[in-house]
Amino acid sequence: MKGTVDDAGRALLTLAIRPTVWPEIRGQDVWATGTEVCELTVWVDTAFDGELVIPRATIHELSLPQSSAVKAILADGSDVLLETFGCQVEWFGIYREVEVIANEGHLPLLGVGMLRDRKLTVNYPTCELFLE
Amino acid sequence: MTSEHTLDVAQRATAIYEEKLRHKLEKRHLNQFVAVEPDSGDYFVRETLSSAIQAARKVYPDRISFTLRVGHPAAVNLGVMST
Repeated sequence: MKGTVDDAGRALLTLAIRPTVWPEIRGQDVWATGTEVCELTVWVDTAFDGELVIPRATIHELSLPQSSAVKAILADGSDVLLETFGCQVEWFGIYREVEVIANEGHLPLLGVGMLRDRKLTVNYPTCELFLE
Repeated sequence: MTSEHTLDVAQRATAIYEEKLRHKLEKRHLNQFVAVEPDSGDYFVRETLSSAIQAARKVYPDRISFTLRVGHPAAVNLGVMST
């Protein structure tokens, strides 16, 4: 996957995501999915140890279903309760079920939880990002 | 902003974790994630946050869980807030 580095030095990737719709039948193995695919530009943030953070407004636009809640520790050491929502993310050619965390920010974040098996290279002089 | 329902689920699930689960899970599942469904008291331990939540959702599709990381003060660390 290829991405860019913007003028503010942020390493950015564009991902395709779509809503997950859980069937209301307990134990069913197949998840029905929403067909609408949205392209989302995410900021690769290696200070975030989870998978994905998406702004609440975007989650609302995509009608993602709430799945859980988590406690998160912020950069200033404070903690906050945040809700998670289900979606599918196209990741190296395959759609992957991901529980995204909602926050009140403006830019989605991609964390190390998505990167653990990958090699990330950021070339700041050429403003390029490579993820393999 | 989180809903009152989310806050209620988090509080009840946290109480279950502290009273019944913390001690035994920290012995064998350190660093893993546990999704707690407070109405039933059921819990789902998995390697990742997403898989723990999905395991709980598969059994209880109409309920939300609260998910913790075993041995950690929070499930995730957000080093910086997005702008």
